[in-house]
Amino acid sequence: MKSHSSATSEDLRVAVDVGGTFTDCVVQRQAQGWLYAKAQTTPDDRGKGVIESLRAAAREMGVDFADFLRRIRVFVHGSTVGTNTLVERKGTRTGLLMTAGHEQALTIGRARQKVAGLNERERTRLVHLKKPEPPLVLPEDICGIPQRMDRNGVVIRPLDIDASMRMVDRLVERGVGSLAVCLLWSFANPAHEKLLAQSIAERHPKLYVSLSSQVAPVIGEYERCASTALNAYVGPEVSSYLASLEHRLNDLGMKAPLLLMLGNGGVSSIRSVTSTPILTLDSGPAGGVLGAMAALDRVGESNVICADVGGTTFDTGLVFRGEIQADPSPVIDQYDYHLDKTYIRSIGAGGGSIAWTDHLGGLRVGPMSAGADPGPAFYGRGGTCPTLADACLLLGYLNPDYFLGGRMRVDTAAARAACEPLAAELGMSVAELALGIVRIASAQMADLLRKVTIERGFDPREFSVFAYGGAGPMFAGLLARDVGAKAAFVMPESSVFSAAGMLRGKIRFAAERSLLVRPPITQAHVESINALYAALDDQVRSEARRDSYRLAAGDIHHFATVRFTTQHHQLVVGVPWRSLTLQFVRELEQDFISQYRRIYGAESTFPGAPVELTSFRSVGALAQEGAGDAAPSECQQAHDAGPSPTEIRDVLFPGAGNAYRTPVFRVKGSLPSGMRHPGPLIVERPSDTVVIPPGCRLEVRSEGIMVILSEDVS
Amino acid sequence: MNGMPAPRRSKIDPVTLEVLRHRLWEMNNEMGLLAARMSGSHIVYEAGDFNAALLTREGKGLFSGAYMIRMATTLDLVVQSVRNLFADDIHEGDAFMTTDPWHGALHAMDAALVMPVFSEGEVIAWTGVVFHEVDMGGPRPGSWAVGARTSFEECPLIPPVKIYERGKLRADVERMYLRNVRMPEMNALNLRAKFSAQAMTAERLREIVREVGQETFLELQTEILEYVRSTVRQRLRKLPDGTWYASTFVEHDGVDPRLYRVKLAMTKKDDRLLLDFTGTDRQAQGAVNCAYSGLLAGILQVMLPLLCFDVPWAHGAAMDCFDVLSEPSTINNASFPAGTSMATVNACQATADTVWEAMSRMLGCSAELQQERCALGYGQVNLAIMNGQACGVRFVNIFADCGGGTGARSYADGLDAGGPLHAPGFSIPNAERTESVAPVILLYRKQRAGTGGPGTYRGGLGMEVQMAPYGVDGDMESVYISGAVSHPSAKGLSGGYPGSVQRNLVLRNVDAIALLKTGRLYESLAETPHSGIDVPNAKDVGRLGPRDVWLTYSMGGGGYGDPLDRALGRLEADVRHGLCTREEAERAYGAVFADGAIDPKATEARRAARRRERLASGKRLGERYGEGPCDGPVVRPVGNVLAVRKAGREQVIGCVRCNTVLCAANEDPRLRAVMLQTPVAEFCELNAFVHHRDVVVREYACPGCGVLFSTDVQLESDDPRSPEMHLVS
Repeated sequence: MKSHSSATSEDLRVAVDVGGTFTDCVVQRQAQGWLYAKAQTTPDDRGKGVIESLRAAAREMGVDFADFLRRIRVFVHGSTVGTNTLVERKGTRTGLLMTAGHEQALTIGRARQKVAGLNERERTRLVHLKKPEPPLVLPEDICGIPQRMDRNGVVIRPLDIDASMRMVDRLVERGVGSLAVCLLWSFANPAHEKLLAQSIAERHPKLYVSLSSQVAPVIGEYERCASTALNAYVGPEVSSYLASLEHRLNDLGMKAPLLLMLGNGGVSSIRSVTSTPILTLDSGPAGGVLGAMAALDRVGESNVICADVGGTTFDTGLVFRGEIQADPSPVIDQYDYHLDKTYIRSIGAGGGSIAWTDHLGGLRVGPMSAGADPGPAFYGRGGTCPTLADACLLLGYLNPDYFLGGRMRVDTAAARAACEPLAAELGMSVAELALGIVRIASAQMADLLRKVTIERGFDPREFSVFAYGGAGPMFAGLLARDVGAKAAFVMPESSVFSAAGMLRGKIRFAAERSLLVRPPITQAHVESINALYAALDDQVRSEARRDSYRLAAGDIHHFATVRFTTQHHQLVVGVPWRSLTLQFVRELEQDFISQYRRIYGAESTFPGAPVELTSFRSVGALAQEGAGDAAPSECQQAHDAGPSPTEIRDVLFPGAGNAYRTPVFRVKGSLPSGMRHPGPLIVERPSDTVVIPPGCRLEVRSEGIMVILSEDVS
Repeated sequence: MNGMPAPRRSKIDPVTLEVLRHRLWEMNNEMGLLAARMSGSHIVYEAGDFNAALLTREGKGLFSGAYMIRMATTLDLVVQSVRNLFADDIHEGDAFMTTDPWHGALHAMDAALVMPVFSEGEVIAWTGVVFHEVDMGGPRPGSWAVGARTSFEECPLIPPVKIYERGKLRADVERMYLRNVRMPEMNALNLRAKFSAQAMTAERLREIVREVGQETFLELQTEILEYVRSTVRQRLRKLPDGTWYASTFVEHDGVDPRLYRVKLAMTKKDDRLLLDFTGTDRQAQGAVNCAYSGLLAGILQVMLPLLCFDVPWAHGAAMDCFDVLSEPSTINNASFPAGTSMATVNACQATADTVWEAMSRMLGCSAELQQERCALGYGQVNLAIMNGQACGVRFVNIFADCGGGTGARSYADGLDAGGPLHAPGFSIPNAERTESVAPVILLYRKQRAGTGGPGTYRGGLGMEVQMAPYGVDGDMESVYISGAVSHPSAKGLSGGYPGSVQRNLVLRNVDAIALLKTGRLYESLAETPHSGIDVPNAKDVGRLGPRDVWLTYSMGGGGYGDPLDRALGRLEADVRHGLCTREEAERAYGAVFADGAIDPKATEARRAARRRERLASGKRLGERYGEGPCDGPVVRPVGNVLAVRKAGREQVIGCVRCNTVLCAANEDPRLRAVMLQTPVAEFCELNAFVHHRDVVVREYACPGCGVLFSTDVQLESDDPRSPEMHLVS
């Protein structure tokens, strides 16, 4: 473990998560508990929003900003800069070096690129399918490198380094600022990629270079190439953003090094993120999953579905038996890539989702969104389309006088006016329309929750829903009821849930390599696997050392990717033994088969079907300093509001006929623990609104955790 | 609502309908995905050769998945057959398997498993999953029975059998099934995958029934069908009444290298279609026929994407919108014991190609639906199955490493290396994957210039691959399965040119690995040194020696619109990126190069001269119509340069460029066009190896300005005045 001077009660642990609309800041104090602050995200200079959120936190704490920064001991940061750079195509012009003859692997995209990552509705518009536009790498920036290896990494065609460097020179002359190198079979033998990297570094020391044998050393040149190209494309942008942020924070007096949230649920230093920035893709939602994982003990659950409802998207993830679930085949912007990454699925559904009618007069909601600008009609910024948030307002879920704690004015008339034409077209009242919008949107979210569980062989009835994000608590009860989940939890920190989760991420170092081990598995295989793990462990340890961490044997965990020999689909299985034996390999196979049966049913396997191992991974993980300390329970102003409602108002709910006289509790912190109340009721908090529909009840647990239970679940 | 009829009054409120429709759609997609993920073969999971469907209690298709479209569309026939055969003997937990084309399967390898879903003792729905099995037995590995002359010479067909009884696998039936196949573990895992996915789905369906009640659940089925039916009918009503024609070929039946013709006249009246295949050739002696199941699948695999593009793919509803006329014992409606093991990629796909062509022509007559069509693309396959020995170990592999391009749209080029649109999830394996399962080196794989059909928007390019044996003990035995090697089946639309043909070539004694070791890699046929070229026929068997190279290229998509109208910026970019050769730019697009760049002025002049040449050298197919030009208002478009226009009280079809009148509104515009004809073999360099020399590309130009409005691929002996369309005025 890294050595530090001893902690003091003054020390702060801070996480800042940059979202699409808000930048959230969470501060964990030694004694006085946790504190949250928000600032507007500043897309042109995200660092500004980060600093603003820190200032807001310092103000909230009532301490001097410089003093606040000086006291920060751990600083974890999550940002969408990588994702945005890619999606908006604002990255560095990237050149690609690929084995000659296979230069077009990325462009061809296995012919499936046209549908990768699309939902079924998009897929069925066959005539209009397209490939990513513009492509990540322009066709003229791809070079065929004279070299070739076979599947064992044996060189067939020697590398012509001179010819290769001439190509690189031309790329640089043309304005390429970043290079991705992906040679066939380089994961089996990285020698040629390394030689290229050396020569490039000598000739063009400033060029950002990404090697496929480092970014994704696994079989499958298309996905490996896409990973490497993505990495090269966002690399310089992400690196310079991080370097400048660190610089600014240091200038302002912060001494703690930056830790970055990763999409795999870990955190890592600037140094390793700078060489593998794609690790940060989807790090925001991963923070949410991590938050859920960290909260398990506080709620006594081990299986959780995450439901993050934002302005434009609905993100979900899973925790099963206390473990984050990995995504076997991530896709971004129609590129399939390979990366150790948390399983996250998203759809376009959120507060800004727009309601419309299809050609047969059916009511539909989303995926188009009014976003933050103009936003829902009630923002009064010129939005004229009825959105989900407008519907929530008109049904009485949102309080026009207390939206975002009263910080934002609400134009109810505009929301009504936006709904009227659509209601008239459908022959409905405005209230009926609003109810319809809420039902359809929440059903779509519920469908995604079912999909993420059932697709992986889980039964949603064995899970609890964690609802967070700006609109999550409004839908918590509806979603949990709809999928039959055990309960819905709204945590006190739900409005900054992802940021809070980031303070729980383990510092993570991973190394992986493909090695096909086909049956019959022999002692020789076992030895080569052990040798591979030893090499991977070394790699992991030396990565850690570079960031001044020391990993003990118990900090490193092994995983293997296993499948039936005739199959393509594979599962990642934990390898609990330090050193493998033939007997352990048998046990590993049995683990795989039982995991497989759990996912696909007892009938799904064929007795005697042979099993093979395809890839091996070592993961080193260390807890962040102080991460084991108090949970984010103690909010500032924790004790609050007595159990008497501040207001009774008429509210409409799906599945119910008339409006309910619904008690509304307004709290600044949390409701008293032990409080129980049957639905319907509404809890208004400064940054969000919790809706408990009829047929559900609210129980407040210690620390102000709200649990929404269905009345028929005792 | 833009003059649309008022929404139907349904028994379920529209919100519940939308909620459940979404849920069922997702459920069906998940069933397919789950089954595929469990599947034992990469053809299913990686290549996407599978599909799933949810059907009503009567067995009408409610949802087909967006995978290999045709596979799900005939599950209705399978369920009908099961209900007829098993009547009262259908129980909860039963599952029925068939591979018999006369019971709804498409061909022996597309093994279907269907299951009734029970709730409280009653059937409330059916589900079905189909996989392409790598091998189902029979004379050849992979079961594509090249050389078979009847069904009895192919792998055995399985009419519906109850393979799961009340939730339990019938081991006796399974043993009989697995006894006949080459890789029983794979087929066994696949069977379990299909069953498990459906069993999970059945449970989820029962959950919905518990939630909304059986009555609502059944009503929902009716509503979804009605919703999709109304959508299709509304679209049809907006189109003018008329008949659109199309034709294509099936090449080589595995015994006889001849061309068989599939012919379609598609008539639309009010909100109904009649697909009349009369005139299609008699069934073949070889295994390329399809049964009625394949004919129906060929129609539906086009109808779903072209007319149901934004609604659930309820093929049971789509089926209610058309009638079929087909003579029995023809190649796409074959009678037992015709050979059908190669049905899907031959007669079935050819049927689909004619429907696609006719429907695209029909949609071209609507200003609103113009954009919803595209030219034909990669459809008929191009693959090889090879087996041999390396280091004493036998191997067999299906090499589907090369895919084609998609057809051009009315507003954009087709997708280069886009693969088959009828199987949107299709993917080619990574070279590393292929090299890890077979002793070969993929020397190169690239998008091949010249494969895509030129046009104002060009067809997407197909790919070209060279593969060399690597470390083999001797020759590899090869089976080649392709179509469209003598006739380009990716025809152009509205004057666009067809894509190239596709081909397998064996280059003898290249010794590519030895060359590679010395640093030499040849990335084209022209450069590669060899001692001779063998040209396998469309269906063929052969040997690939250790020093030989297999070269294969797949067709690109058809083009859209006259190539002489292609924007110079696009053309220049294509030339720069190697997607169009300079030779092609000059020949097909009329480009003039100066100092290595396109000279816009000279090109414009060359293009004008080309149009004049067409008028001078082309054959005028009929007399000039009427008395002169017509610049009357456009009533509706006919493709991209013609339109129905008002000429006084009359309506005519005229050119929107030069106002020349081609014909009366109810005549076929080809009747009085200027026609140019080029043998396919001379149409582009990639067509040099065609076996049938009597196939021609015909271009139809406006007699006024020479702009192309139509192209076709026909036999030289065919009447060039064979019609493209007749509107009812």
